[in-house]
Amino acid sequence: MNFPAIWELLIRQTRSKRPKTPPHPQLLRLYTVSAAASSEHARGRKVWLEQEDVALLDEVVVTILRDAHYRRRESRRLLLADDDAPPLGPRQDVCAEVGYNVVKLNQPSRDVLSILEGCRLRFNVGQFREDYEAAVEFVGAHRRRPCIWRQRSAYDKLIAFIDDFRSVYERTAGFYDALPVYIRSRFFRAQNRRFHSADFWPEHVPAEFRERWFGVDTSTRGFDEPAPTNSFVEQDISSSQTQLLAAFLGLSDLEELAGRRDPKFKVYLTRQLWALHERDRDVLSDGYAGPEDPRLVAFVKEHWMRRNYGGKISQVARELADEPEAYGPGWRCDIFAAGDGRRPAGVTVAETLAARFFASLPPWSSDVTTFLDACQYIGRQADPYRGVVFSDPFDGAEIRWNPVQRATKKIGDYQIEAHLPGRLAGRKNKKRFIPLPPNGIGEFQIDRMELQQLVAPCLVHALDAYFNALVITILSQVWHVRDVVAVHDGWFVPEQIDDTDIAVYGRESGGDVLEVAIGVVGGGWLKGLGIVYDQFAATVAGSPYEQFALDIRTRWRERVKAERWPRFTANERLD
Amino acid sequence: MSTPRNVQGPVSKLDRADYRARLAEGGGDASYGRPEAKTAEEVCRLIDVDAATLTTARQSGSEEERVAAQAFVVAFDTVLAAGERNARLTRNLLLDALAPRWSLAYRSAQQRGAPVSYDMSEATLKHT
Repeated sequence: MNFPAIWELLIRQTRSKRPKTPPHPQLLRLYTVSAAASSEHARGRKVWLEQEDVALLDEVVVTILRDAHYRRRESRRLLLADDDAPPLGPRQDVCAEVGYNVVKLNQPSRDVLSILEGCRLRFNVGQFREDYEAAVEFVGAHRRRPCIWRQRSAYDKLIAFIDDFRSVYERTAGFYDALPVYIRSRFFRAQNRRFHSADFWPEHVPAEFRERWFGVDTSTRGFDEPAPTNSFVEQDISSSQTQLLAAFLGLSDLEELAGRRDPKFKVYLTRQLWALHERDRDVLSDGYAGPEDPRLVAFVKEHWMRRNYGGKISQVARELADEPEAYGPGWRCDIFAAGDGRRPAGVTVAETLAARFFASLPPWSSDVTTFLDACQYIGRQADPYRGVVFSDPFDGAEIRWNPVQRATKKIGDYQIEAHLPGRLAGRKNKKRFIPLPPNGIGEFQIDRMELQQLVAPCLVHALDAYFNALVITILSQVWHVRDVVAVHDGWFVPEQIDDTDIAVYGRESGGDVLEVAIGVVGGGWLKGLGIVYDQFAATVAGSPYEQFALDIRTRWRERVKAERWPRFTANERLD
Repeated sequence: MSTPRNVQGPVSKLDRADYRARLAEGGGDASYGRPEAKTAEEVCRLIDVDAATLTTARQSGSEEERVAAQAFVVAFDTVLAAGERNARLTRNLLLDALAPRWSLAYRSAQQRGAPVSYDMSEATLKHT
């Protein structure tokens, strides 16, 4: 085939009034394209689907869909309970066909994956299709992307929703509503050690649709006859990242605050920020109604959470400023103002104000800051090829984060782009690709900037994945719950659990079982963290963070010795 | 999409025949996920696209036109999908739609773990 000829034919339907090549008359009735220039990527085209000849478009699409041989791109695969699917390969990122950030697993992880893969969900196809069609209808009636930021964000979410579930919608065409449809999924552990479903599953569905689309019929292992239709109960750990991080760092005050139901931790933080603002009068822009203003609560929550995920305050503040309806007017500065000799840039002022806020919090805040700084140090000082290496506290497997330093190179006459090991050098718009050769064993040089940003969030996620794995294991081994859905720090189990073993524990409500499970694994979780403390201390040995690492390990040892096990607070519903 | 070789330039008839034979060993259209010839013919008829214009000067004949028509269906569907999900249409996107169905080098790289062209080696992309 003639690749350039196909490409040229596709992009001829330009929106330009004076196109270089005349458009194809029929294709022009179906779509047009406009150039989307970028300094880093090849000129792509934005595609505008036209309404001029809907009948023709429908006829073409139906002809394509009717073809049983043709495999369309599937964004989210629907796996029916009795469908065959190949097992997932090793999880890794790939650069120039060489794997990195490779996820290694030992048997305990495989066992948890197996438990998760044993779950069968009832999929309410009729409800799903109704919701999907409503979204498509809305977008069809509002084809232009809104200009207002907040509407634009909601619109983009709707577009993503349609794209995400298009293949599921197409697959379920013709399903008979009266018959129950059961689905399953394959699972994997990601580089941050979290467990994820690979196929269409509640994890990928917005929270408001989970209950509408999914249910469960059987609740326990060993029952041949299906139990009556059952629904799920859900619980998640409130402020989970903060509760887990506080326990890891041995910050009992923070652990207690983050576990409170009233006020919630984000409300506590907001009150602290408001108090600082009332005292100094130069922290927040005018426009917030007070510490209870939901926009301010959302503003503070985003800062706390994304900072702990390794995000830069300058970027967070800028992004939140784009959505004033959701986050309010923000810090007292013009966030988009450029700096000059007399005045600092807006983002610099925002960073200073945020730092003042974090410094105004009780002493635990400085420990959290030190932890984040230590993680940055670990990324900065990592071996240039090996990256950062830890052990997974759950299965003992090696965790290795070695993101490759990559840059874009255009290949061949067709200008295909590859993200190869290398960097760009030279002036803006005239950058050259400089390759970075591999070491003796074929590994590429790491991207230190990226590694610096990912150590803290990956480490914290590895801790919550460990907790998640323990909860799943105990639900399966002790209560014989077959159908469990885990979404990071939240779990769904059947509302009624009918197992003979339940009598031993005197439980039959799924919610009660889940609450007990979350409560009892805290001790095992904390005891198992020893290897993380040891490796954390070894990695920062000889640095300004050594004493900090030794201190948190000492606090952990004392707590384990005293058997003061964490009991993380759970909410009844995932947000 | 040429045969894996160490030199660039036109592909000889012999090389092409050899490549086709190896491609056919992998199965028919269904196993590669290509649209059927009759689908391709119908889509080209509906949109009024002459598949002969999508072959190279050295690749003429009904077999070449059939492949070009099939490729056009895949390419057109890629445009539709990009429009629906607000994604950019790029040469990489087009390559990632076509190459898994017709390029042994590309498929081989996928089996080595590289899911899309961005993650492949320079050599593979030159051979695709």
